[in-house]
Amino acid sequence: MKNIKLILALLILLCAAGLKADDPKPDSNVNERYVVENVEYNGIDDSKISKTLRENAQRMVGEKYSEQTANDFARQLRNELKGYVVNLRVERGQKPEHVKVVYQMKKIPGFSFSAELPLLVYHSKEGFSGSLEIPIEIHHNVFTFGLVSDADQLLERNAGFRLRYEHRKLGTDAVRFRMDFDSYHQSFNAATKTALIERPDVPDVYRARQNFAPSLSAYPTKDLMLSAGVSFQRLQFQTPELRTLTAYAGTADIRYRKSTEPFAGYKQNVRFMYGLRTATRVLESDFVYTRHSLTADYVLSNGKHLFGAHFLSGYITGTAPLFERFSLGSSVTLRGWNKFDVAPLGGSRAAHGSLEYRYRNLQLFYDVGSVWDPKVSSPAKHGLGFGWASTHFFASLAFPVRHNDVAPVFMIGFRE
Amino acid sequence: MKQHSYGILLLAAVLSTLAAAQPHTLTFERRGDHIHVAAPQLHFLAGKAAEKLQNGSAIAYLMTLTALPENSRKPIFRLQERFVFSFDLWEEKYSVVQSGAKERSASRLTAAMAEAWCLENMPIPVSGVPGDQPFIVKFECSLEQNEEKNGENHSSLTLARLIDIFGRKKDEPLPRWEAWGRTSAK
Repeated sequence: MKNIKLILALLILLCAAGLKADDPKPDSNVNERYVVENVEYNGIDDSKISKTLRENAQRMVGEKYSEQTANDFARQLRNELKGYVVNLRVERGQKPEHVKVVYQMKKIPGFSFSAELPLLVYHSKEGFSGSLEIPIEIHHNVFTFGLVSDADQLLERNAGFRLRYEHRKLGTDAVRFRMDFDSYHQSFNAATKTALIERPDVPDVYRARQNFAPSLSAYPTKDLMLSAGVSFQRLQFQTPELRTLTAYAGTADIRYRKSTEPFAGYKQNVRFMYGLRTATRVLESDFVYTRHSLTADYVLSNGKHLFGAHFLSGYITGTAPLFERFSLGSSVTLRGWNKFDVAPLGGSRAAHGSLEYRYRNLQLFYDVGSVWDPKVSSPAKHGLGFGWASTHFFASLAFPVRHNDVAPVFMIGFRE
Repeated sequence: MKQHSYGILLLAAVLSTLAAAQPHTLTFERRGDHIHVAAPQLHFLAGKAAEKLQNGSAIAYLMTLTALPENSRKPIFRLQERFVFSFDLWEEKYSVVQSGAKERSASRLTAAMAEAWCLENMPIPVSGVPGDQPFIVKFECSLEQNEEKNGENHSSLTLARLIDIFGRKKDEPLPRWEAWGRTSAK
């Protein structure tokens, strides 16, 4: 009898506990008893959301839904996606007792503003290079104002400003119109000036350069971009007398980028770019030349491992001004080398290859390349290095492969 | 005949508008030492709030019952409670939590049942109101403002934020619901 009473008492307690458990806890959302099946983003390309944020959101999957966590993440999205309204919605999942967390993004119409740093690099041989861009978007029109001081990409250090207007919907999203105006003051390395004495076939240094370049771009598919335009460049020379020469060119670019869905854990990214610039008397250009450039990148990744192969080549016919000539030995090409040791005047031909391996963010790389002119040969040079690399940030130490003066080059920065 | 029909339609529209503008009325039931209030015609689980609930969010409502003498504006009794609603996405039923010291809750309710449950849990003690005179009871319900403004970036002060602050339209007022009734403790 005592046992029956005890069992009854336990049953009553269990029932009470069950009823209590069935009721939602104070201040809680009743849906917090369900498991998150997946997290979705609507109204935006996933690539606009940083990898870190996406990974953080993915942590909700498989866990009980928490409104606070979901709201915290919505707040982080709002902070990252300036100019977007972010709304949270929870829906029934495919599986019973599961829910789907959906972030609905909507662009704020009219106006958006942000400052961007497309390039910020320190190179121990070249110093700092950086650019700051402020795009102002009004409907489909983007006005960009930028400041730049860059010694990394070209033989010259160009310091000045950039203005850009872009109309991103010329009848359709697939056609865009763009107009660039750049104004720079140049400074050249002493090695370049000295080398010019022995090379009268290479045009002299200039102290200022202005560029006005309208172009039209078409996107037949989301992976392919075709662009055509003109570039009116005016260069101010100081020697033998103060004069302005022009490099008026027709331009054409093809860009192709493709990412494949992971297969057996492997993901591939392919990128291909071809650029053509042809300065001609038809456009009343003082310089007459044709410049071809080609870059190709292949990246294969599987989990924490990444393998990359990168290729660059260039070819110029005619006499091109210094800013058009190819140079190797920057934070991207022939790392470990000083570009003025490789070729102080650059070259009208270039070939460069790079291999990299990454485990998580630790990176090992090998670069090989040469830049030359038709009658001036230059042996291929090699560089090796290691460092830390993520999507935008990198820090690396690179060494030139040679018998003497193996001085390391340190590079750190952000790059788009 | 056609003109007559238009007249009837116009009259019906005017009458329905007037009816909608009328404050909702409360009903009362005395049970023991408490007067229980109900507002069967008042539905606050509606509009954007209902939409948000059905999108899986929880929403807090602040509800106030005020008893006033017929000839005075000075309250003789006032009770404010906070109720958190959520909508079960799988069962398609509402859950309510009465926060504060009482911490009562109910689940698997229809919208009408959830609305009624709140008022049911806000009884007026007979001892708190005059026993011999009729009095007015006012019920007010509003959404609790605790939402972060969408599109704002709180991480830093940017030009975008300044433009947004100076160029922003006035916020829409939060919806409020009211109901009135006349009763006595007898």
